[in-house]
Amino acid sequence: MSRFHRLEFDVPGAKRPAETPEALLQPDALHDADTHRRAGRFEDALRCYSRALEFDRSLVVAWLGQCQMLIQLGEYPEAELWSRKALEIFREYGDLMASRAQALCRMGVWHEAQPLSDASLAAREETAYRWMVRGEIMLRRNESTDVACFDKAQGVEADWLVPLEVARVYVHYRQFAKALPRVRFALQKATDQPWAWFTQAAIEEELGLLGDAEKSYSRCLELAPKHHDARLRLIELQSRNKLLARVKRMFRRSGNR
Amino acid sequence: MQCASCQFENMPGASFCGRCGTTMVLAEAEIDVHPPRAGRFTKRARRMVPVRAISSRVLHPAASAAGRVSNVAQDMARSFPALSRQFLGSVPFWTYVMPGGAQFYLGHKTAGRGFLWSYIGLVFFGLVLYGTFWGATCLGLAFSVHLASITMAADPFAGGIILRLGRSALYGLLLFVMLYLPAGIGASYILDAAVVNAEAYPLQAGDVLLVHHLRAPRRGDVVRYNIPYRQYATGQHAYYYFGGPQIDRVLAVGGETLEVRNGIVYLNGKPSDELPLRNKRVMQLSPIHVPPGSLVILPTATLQAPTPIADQAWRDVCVVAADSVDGIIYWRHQPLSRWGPPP
Repeated sequence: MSRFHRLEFDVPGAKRPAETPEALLQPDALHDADTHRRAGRFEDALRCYSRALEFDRSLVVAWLGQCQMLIQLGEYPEAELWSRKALEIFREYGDLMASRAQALCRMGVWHEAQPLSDASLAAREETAYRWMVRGEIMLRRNESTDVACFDKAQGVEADWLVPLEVARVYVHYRQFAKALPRVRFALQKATDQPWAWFTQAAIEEELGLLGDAEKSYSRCLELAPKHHDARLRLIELQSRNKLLARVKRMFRRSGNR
Repeated sequence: MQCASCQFENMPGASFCGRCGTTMVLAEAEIDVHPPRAGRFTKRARRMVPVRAISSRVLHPAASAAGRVSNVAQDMARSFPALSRQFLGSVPFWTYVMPGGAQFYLGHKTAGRGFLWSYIGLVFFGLVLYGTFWGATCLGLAFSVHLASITMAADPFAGGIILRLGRSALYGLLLFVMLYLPAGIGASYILDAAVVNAEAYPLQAGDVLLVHHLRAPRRGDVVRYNIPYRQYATGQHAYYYFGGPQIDRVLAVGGETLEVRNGIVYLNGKPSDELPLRNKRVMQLSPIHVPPGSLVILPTATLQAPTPIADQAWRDVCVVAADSVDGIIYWRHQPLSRWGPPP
């Protein structure tokens, strides 16, 4: 069988494609990015998405992740630009359209965001993110259909991150009363997530539920003892009768949470 | 080969997706995978002022559809609308000129109509009652309505109470400096208000007169001017104190001769059609040849009785430099019962 003599099965010293370091790093980078994102470390998540793209530029999930992390970091013009650039490469990708719509909505140009959101919902597949962006646009327009859109997003994906990000959308628009049930729903699904506890604590603090906020910060520290922000907030809460803590609370922006 | 964008199965070796046109050879394309980031100063500035809809051509020249390379500072210097969008919200700058314009642009028609009509109503009543306390109040409220429409459109959500108050103050200052101050300066040329504080027959205390500064005063114009307050000889070893702001009619201009005999005003030797506001207050005045650049105005409105001032002293009072006239009164605006041209 001379035609089989070039087959190289189990030849000692031969490298398999799966063992090359680049291929091994790629799925880890995406996984790390997701881990950082679920822990609220958006800068690290963005870095991991970029690292994943260095090895494989066709990872549309990484492109999308970059846009979403830029939005979470508050860099809306950059997110809009980057999503537009990604859409030049992946023209029909609905989630990228949604991310651009979200960036435009955060920038206040909701009348340009709405057609993009319509296009994302008309694209192939249905994801929670597209409905979440739709809900945000409705919220921006002061229309009551935002609740239905966010409920639809939660219905599409059962992930605990979805209601948490919905809560963060409400927090961005300073509607803390609406954000609280969403974050509590997220915590019902995953009680071991420090980022969810931290978000809930921040919302409770804004609503004046200082006792509940203190407990939530404590839960967050139980799960993540090195959570610096939670520790600082807890100390401020515990010294809330002091004038300095009150003054700091006045100047702290909820968007940093 | 499956397209990453639309999941369409393409033939092996295809360069572009057959359905959506997405490039299939991303690995070989020179694409920067690191997104642009905002600098620390930019982030800090955005926290202070809402950043909305900055034109991508301003921030990122490479994204320009025309492909031209432009410097960020040059773009911002050239495109004032883009700069104004950075500070004043997502709507175009021109929509802020009209109260409610931004709301109409954003599709909030009810709010836009509310702002617009309340502004128009307040300005209308402010002009009707111009020169009075309520007129000033209405005009001030109109300014507040205009500011409220801008503040509501610019960014109703972001920031705490301190930040929002600061931004409102900044918007108010910009609105005043860019719109109302130039408008006020321009309007003062035709819409200056003179309030009569004391009885000055035929004018009454509380009368509001509209004054313009569009041209030099002419014979026959009722003008506002000032006489330095001092004592004048009465010719009877006594003095009469007289002066202050005056309102009366111009009787003669430079180059003409004015005389009063037995209460009749003669201009260049002939009886004049132009009479002072309160005729017969000055019964005798020897001929005055008006020098160029001067006017003759008899301040009869504020005199309590036929004046005892000596003839020579009158000449000092009546001859007024033309550029000392404060303005020409063209309308009596208040009270509405006496609304009309000056007497």
